[in-house]
Amino acid sequence: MNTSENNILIDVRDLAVYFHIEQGTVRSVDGVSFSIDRGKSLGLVGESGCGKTITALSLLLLHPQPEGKIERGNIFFYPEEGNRIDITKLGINSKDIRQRRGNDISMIFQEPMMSLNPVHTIGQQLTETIRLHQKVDRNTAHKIATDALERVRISAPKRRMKEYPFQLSGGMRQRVMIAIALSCNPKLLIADEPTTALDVTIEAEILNLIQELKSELNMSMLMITHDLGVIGEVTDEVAVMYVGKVVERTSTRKLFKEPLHPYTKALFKSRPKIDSKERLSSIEGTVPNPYSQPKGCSFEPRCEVSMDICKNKSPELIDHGEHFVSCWKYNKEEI
Amino acid sequence: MNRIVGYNKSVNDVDFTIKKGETVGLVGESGSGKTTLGRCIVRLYDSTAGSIKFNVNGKMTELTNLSTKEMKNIRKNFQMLFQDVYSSLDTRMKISKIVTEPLDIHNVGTKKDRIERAKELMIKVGLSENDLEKYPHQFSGGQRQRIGITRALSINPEFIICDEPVSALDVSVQAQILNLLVDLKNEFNLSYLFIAHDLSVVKYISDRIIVMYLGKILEIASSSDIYESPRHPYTEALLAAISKNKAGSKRDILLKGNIPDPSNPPSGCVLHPRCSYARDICKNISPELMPVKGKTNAFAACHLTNELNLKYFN
Amino acid sequence: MDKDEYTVLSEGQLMLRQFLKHRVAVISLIVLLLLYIIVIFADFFSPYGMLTNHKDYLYAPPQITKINFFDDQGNFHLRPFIYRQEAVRDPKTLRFVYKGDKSKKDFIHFFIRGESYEMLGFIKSNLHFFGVKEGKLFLLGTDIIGRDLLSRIIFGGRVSLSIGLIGVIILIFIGTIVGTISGYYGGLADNFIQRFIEIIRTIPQVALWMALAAIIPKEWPSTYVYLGIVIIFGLISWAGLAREVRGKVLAIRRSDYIYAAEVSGASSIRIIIKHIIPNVLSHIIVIATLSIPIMIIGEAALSFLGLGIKPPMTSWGLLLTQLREVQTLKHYPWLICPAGFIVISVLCYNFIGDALRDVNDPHSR
Repeated sequence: MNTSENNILIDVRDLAVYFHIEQGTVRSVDGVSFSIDRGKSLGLVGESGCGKTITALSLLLLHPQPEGKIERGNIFFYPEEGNRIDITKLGINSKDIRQRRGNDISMIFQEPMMSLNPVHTIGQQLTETIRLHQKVDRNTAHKIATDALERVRISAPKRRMKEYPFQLSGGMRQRVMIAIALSCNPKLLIADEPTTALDVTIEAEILNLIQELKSELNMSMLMITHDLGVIGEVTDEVAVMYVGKVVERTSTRKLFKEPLHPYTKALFKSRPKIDSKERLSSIEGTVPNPYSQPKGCSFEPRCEVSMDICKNKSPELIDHGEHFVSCWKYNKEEI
Repeated sequence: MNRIVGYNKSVNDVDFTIKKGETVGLVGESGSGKTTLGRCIVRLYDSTAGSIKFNVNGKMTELTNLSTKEMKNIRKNFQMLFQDVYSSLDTRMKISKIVTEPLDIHNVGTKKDRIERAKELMIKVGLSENDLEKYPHQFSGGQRQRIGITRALSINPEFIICDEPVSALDVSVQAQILNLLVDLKNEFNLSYLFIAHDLSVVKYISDRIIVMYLGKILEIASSSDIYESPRHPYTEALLAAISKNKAGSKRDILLKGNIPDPSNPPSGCVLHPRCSYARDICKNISPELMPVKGKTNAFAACHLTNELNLKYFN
Repeated sequence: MDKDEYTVLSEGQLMLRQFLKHRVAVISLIVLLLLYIIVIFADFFSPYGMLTNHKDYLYAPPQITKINFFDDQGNFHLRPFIYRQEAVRDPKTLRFVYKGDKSKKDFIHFFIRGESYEMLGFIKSNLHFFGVKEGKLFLLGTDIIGRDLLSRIIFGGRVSLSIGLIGVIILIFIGTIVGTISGYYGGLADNFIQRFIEIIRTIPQVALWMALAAIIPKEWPSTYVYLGIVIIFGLISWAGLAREVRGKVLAIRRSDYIYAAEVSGASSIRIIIKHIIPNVLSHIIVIATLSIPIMIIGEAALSFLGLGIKPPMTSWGLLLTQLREVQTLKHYPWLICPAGFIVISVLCYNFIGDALRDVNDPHSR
């Protein structure tokens, strides 16, 4: 993150989203900080329940309500240089945030079928989205929509405009979702596991498409995934999340070259590699129960190199040469 | 002793064998028929034609025409693991009931024996005896799959069909379950049919791999051969689609377009509309699964297999 | 949260918690339980017998509004009392008019000795929950031949409230079996059952009730008639339940745990008993709960039309037959009281049923 201050698009500081439910309080997101520069991409990687999706949703104030609440922190969004908006200060359903949604920040999801309305044609859904955000007449909207489909490399876009979601394959639907998401030229695209539900031979195509469009439109991207492989392919920087906290944050290159946090290391080692039959080194145990998290480092119960201090005190995210990691192993002075 | 599971026609001219103590991987994308095939083998679905033979005490027995009663006896020999760990355990049942169910069905031992067996296995799969008193909703995904494994092992089967047992689990838990399956296989001399869509997972656990696409087997080979010298363009594309695990890397896209509707597969070679090597012959004539020249136990269904020089792009 | 202990609740406990959140349903449940207790021990709770007629008190008005704590001198009495009423014939209309005699105070006692009875066929006693030592106490008035309406409502409740319960047992039995067969085995059986259900459901229910009730021979004793009506209700209303059970079974049938049991060699019967029934049970309970009020109303309707329960038995519906002429309601409005009991019990069942449905619905959780 060695770029100048005014190149930042979104700056999340100490964000915390808690869920107050009958069984207790779940700290889904607990003090997450990151920033994304204009035209850059950040990957948010972690296992299910680590809070990565909630983090992403809260950027649009779309986190589940009313049980989920932003407890503290700021989400500074810079639509233009020098113009700073704190998204956390906007009303949940205010006009201000609705204007940002889709226009400045848009999102694509894992299951495209869930996000498309089955009773409307692709064309209707696209033009509706466009007309919601841009003051254009029906014909112009139709033209923009056709262009948008062409942009996501859908063949015969005019014909596709008249088709219903069920007539398209999974990969096609995700392309349509991307087309809808990009129809208003957003500054930030949030992609929540966009390829997890797709077949392997389709996945690479969609990732390439997202990559190409990102540089074409010069937009920033927040890629949420559990798959380190995807992170390696499409992101510039990466934040590894574990139980609501960022445990490691650095450039993708550095992370793949030398992961520091024991959790990240273990994640890399636990994936089967096509060119080796070596026994996998698995992370023992399970993610701690959300209602009773450990007092110290949340990874301590599963960590192979844990020390006494790890049990009692939660480590801070400390800089190690533009490589932030929260682990006592790298924080010698404090001990 | 050879255990042979022959198979024909139901998915579409599928023919293969699994030996005792062997793990055969079955890899394919959605609509490839891999789950259907697995379920046909244990006769959850009835196949329309063909034969499935199972070695029962040294005698090859044809499964497709057995009566329900005869089939029940043979069912002691095989079990199944499922992908959806949330739907594969009955939420209204206690774990002790769930894991001893196969024993209960076949009336094996006394109630006390069954519980003893369950306790022993629970510890073996990395759970505790006390967990027997709990209900499924008290466990995480990985733990639920361990419970599924306990149930499968309780009856002491010889053959387990693993239908994507790790693909719904978190990455860190996948490795635990894969390692556990390998350990149990070695300890009990089990045979697996391991179904998955992820070639690297299949390759890790399998001795041989079957590659399926749109209800057809396109290639069968040992797992090292599949990776070192794929003989079918589809296998090559699957290998290319595996992420490189490097920053800034890109995957090669070898197949164009989308997977066709499996209920209406293309004529000729099922892959030809997407295959970059396709020629006229591929459009019209469906290739047979043929032994690969110079290899034992390797088969490919491609007209061009001896002409093309396929490899794993890295 | 760090030190917080937490406990994992079983599915049943979670449902109970969820149910207790529905205040109205909880209150309804308490009301219904009270009603059933009163009705079961009717001989004890009713001040008089069901058939006892008080010849001097024909069409006596309710005294529930005339309970006093202060006498006309303004003296306070801890024990409530009523002034003894006496019938006087109105010389113009020739109808009885009841007047309170200020000189005679009848105090209301609890656990008082009165008419002797043999409750439920084996408890012999003469203890009543409340009553007066001398004189008469008609809290809800009397009917044309001077029978205490409250006592008759309590005894009539036995029929009205039990018809729903017993009918529902028949309904559950048939509905579950038919629905499960239809959903589990599918194919021709399913097709046949579904068409049959559709035919049943096209016939208007009330008409069907009436037609079937008319079959019951007039000369049958009233207990047989009662049984006949229960069976009619059970036989007619299973169709809805069968259809819902079928849908549920169809969904459960595709669950992996069913496949797991099948792979292990479990028979269909075993799968149905061990896996399918326990998983549809909660749905069955919801539908059954919501069917009871329909049966209560059905019984009332049939009895009102003279096709249901016959005297000497009585039910809330039968009690209302006295009101077939509007004139009667005009002069003796208290005879509408049984309708109030019908409304209350039907509402309670509906509230409970709705709450159970909420608890059961996974989407609301």
